[in-house]
Amino acid sequence: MKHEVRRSDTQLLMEARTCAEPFGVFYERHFASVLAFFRRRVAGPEDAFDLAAETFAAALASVPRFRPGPEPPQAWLFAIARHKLNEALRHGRVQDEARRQLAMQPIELDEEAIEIIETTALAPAVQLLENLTPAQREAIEARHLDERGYAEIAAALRCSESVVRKRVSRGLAALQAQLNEERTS
Amino acid sequence: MSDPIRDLKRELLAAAERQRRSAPIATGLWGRRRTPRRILLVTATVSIAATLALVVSAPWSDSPGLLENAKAALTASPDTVRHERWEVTSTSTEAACTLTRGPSELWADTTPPFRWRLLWRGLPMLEEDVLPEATEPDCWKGITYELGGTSKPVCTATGCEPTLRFIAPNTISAAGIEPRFLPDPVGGLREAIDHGLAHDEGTTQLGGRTVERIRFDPPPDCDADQACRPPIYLYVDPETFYPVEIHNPQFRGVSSVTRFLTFEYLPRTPANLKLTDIRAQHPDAFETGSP
Repeated sequence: MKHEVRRSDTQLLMEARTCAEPFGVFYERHFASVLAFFRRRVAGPEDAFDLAAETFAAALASVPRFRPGPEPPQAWLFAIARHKLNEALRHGRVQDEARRQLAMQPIELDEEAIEIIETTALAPAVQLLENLTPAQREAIEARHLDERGYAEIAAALRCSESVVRKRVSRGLAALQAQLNEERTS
Repeated sequence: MSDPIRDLKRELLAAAERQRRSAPIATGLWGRRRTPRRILLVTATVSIAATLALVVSAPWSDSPGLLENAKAALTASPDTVRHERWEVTSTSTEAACTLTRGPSELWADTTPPFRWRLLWRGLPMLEEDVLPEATEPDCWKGITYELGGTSKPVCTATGCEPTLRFIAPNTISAAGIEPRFLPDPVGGLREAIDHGLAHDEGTTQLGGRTVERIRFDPPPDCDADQACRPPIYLYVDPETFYPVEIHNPQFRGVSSVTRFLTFEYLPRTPANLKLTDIRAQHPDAFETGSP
């Protein structure tokens, strides 16, 4: 049985200089986080997807110049993402310079596609939720995913409303801390 | 079923393939496509900066005192000009030759935009300088270049200043070499120490003098093509911590020793700054846009 060794991101980007396939692996590994990054910052899933596409196109165009450094390649990728977001905010629309430069075809988004984008953008957040304590996760899921009231959740969990509020508040703070860490990493 | 993520991947892979096919031939030291691989490897032996930059961090180190001192010795104060002069002796077991190339000499201003000038005596950096009939590049005597540029690009509305090359008798032209490929033997050492790659191996004797030996190991998940080399050894003076020699053990049939003839920080006087400026060295040269 053949076991494929997981290639590091640096290795993928170095290999992508001479071969297309490693960039595909790099894309699959990081697309959801980049999409989620934009989804939290722009109003619609279409804009988030366009920004993510533009980010990966710019990253691909920069691959020949990529040089491994002290920071992990994700930091390089998110630096491009932040730049693309600022550019979009400055111009009031998502730029397509990198995609045009690479002669990429625009991707049409129908209802089904938007649903996939939304689910994918949510996936990293679900992963973050898994890092919370079970009590905090349960409280946040009940309050923010199931949209139940505090009194109802307190009754179900057999604790006071103030305990539920505290769990939700602490869980949200922990999520915020994780997101901040992700942004600066 | 419409899947935009899969569609985008397909578009990216197609673009990657187009980009790969249209990549320029002579984009720099490691960007060339037609140059035989062996040339690049031998050239890489003198560029510890590039080698170490490819090495992924392994978070350990010891003897921070020595390593901190070595790092400090490689860190110039802002008002200086770093001056390095070195030669490289490389041995090819495959081609059965040992030869010394150099000395090469670098003057680098430590203040932005970090102007530098390099007298390079080593293997060709540009593809047009590679002899088509050459079959054993490890045994080539080398070529001389005079290059100049800035480590931080100086850009205007018309574009960024390229790396320049002086061509005798009196021409300066764009060299087609990216500044990041500047072959500075100590360029990556500070960063490598910072990233925990350095390992103090204590005092030893080298050519009849006492030196400190620092080992740079490849990481466990290193890139098989470049970074999975054997450890690289840096020997530093125990008093000044300035580099004395860098030893690249045999890798793909070639080993090398970089020997520092001079390593010093000069005051940033007009005369010393002139040494970093290729235009100032050749005030009467004609400038052309391409080589």
